[in-house]
Amino acid sequence: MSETPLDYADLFETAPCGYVLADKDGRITRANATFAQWVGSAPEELQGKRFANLLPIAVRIFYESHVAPMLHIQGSVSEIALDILHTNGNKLPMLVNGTALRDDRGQVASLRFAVFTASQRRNYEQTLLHSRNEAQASVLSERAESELREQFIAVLGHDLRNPLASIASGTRMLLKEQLSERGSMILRLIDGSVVRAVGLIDNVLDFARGRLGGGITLTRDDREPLEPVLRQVIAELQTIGPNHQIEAAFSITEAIDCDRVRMGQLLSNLLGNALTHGAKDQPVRVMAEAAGGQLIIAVANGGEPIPATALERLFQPFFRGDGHSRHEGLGLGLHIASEIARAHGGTLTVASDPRETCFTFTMPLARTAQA
Amino acid sequence: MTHETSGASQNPAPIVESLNARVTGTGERAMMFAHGFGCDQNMWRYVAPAFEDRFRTVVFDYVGSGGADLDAYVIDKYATLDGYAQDVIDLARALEIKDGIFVGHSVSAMIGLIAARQAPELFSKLVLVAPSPCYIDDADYVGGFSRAQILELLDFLDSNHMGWSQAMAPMIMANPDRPELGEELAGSFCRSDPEIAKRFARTTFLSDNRGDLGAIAAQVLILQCRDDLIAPLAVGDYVHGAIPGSELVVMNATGHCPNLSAPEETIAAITAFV
Amino acid sequence: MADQEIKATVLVVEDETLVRLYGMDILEDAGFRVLDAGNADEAIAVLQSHDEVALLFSDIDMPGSMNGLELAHLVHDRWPNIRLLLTSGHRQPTQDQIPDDGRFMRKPWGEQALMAKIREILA
Repeated sequence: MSETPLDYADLFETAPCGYVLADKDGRITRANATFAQWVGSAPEELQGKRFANLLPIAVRIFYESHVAPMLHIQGSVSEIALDILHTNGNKLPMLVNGTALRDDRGQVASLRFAVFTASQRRNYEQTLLHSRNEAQASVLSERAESELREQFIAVLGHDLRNPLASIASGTRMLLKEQLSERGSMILRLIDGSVVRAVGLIDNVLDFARGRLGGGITLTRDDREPLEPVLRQVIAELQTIGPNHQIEAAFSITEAIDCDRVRMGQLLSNLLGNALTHGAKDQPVRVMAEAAGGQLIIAVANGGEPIPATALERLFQPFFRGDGHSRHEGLGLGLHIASEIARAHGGTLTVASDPRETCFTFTMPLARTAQA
Repeated sequence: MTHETSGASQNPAPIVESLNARVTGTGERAMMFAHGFGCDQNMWRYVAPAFEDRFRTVVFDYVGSGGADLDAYVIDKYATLDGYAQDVIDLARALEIKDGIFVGHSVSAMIGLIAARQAPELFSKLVLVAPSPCYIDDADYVGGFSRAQILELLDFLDSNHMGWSQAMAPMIMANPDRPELGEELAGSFCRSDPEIAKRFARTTFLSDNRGDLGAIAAQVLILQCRDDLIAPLAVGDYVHGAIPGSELVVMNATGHCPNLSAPEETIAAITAFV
Repeated sequence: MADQEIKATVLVVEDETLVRLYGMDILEDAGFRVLDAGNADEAIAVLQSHDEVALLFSDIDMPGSMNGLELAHLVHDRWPNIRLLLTSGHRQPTQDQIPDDGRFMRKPWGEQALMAKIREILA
């Protein structure tokens, strides 16, 4: 096949882009027909005009202070967004590539610009920018709101605990006074209510903090024994169910590296559940044992078994069972307990049959001191 | 994301590094070249080397431009030219410059004046290339632009990320087929963080620093381009008149960056002065 | 409790009245002499007029010019012989935040545990 020689002149004039040639000062020496048509001029009228003069003033400042220097330093520019003025005064959004050609001495001798219309692209960019700015603003305001929320919850927890501590102190002092049987019983019930309320606040605060990204934080050490902490929890929770028998069996002979407050909270949540949902006429059994490199804490109660479907979702937040039990609670206790287990590198599991329901916490005991 | 640091006094990185300063040449006296808005130290590449045989030459990038440390940008500090002047002073002191020569292009000319006024021992000669103390027209003063036009510029920069993003092209865009580019990678010139560029534009084009003109101990040379949109002849005259004893040279060069478009003429004018 | 033995004096500092009374109650039952204050300023006034205080037992979060931690530091500076036991329901200071080798007890107190702790400190 013989080749038809290319008509370079035509290729230049009717290119699908604007093509502008200029001298080293940016004065247009030649503009192709496409460009001339876009700006509403005849090609001859453009000759001699400064390329920069085709730009609105604001854009000219940008051109002179940034684009022109870049051409001189780098020798080329690409994808520069410029508005170019149509002779009727309208601004045409364009994308411009430019090259600077040098002479033998290395000085810039002439400039070439390829120009593309870009109004659709510019609109698209504007929309994107706008959406992005809106998204950024909403993230900022959400963050501010959630900080406020967290502070509010912290203050609330703090403020709620103080009067509760007062009530508990008062009831305990009253219990030492000379009282009737009935009087003592009433005080013990009040105490039980306070214990439940404090447990609720602890769980809610933990949950709120966890959701806001804090997670369950631990302060671990092995400087004090764990058993007294667990025994105290049992003593406190007994007030919730004064007639419900709690059997405790402890076998912890070594120092346990853990967060004792959290351990207490874990036991409190498990024991509270057992007392609330377990059969009242069957004892609740608490077992704590350190053996074979593990710490095991287990709480078992009698009564109706937990259905298999519920077992799967037991540790999720806000899971409240199927409405059979009167005492639903917030549904946070088990979730928090499992988070505490996880934070200690351990697990919390459940087994439930008609004979008993048993929650078991297992944690590996660290052999070496923590870094 | 804005780049902000709380308080500049928290153990700043050495100023020489954070401003990406390069010191070359030998000589008793030092010559510091400062770029203007829209570019970086590379704009002096045709002019600064000509003085290396006689002077210790210093080029650097302002915070937010070129290779300077982006994290050092503090919105409040750089909201006025004083913040930039402070960097110039700090850099000069770190390099132990005394009786030096400051060559400032465009807005850097004013920055240099402010710095020299505050610390006169640093620079005994100032070269102001295409300076302007105020870009907006005012009563009898011709700055060259109306406020509306400057605001239009700022708006345009706001929506023209494309123009800057090319300058921020990542290193991987270097063409491995053209090893002769060596360390000079395409897109590594006149870099700027788009957010900081917008703020620098605000600071530059909206400030009125006419009050910083006036008598000054240092000797002053003004290089004015014949046909400069951004710093027109009227402004050059104004600056000349406001600094007693200053010298004004109107160059044949056109455009706003004679150090790039007419380097030989620029070198000659500066040489005659120093 | 053996009344013949020399009873040590403990200063209980706590802004929540019922809680303070309860703490004083526990300590008196354990055989200690008890003085009390509702905030750091009151505590300092008590210490200035009573030189027999052996232990400062103070809450951490209190209103007034300083909190319990700051009070502990001040007491340690001015009356270095006084032992320190701090308590709180919210905070858990680290060992190096408490001056001297002061101890910490978390609220709510178990009565037995608190008495044992104080006996241990003053032993």
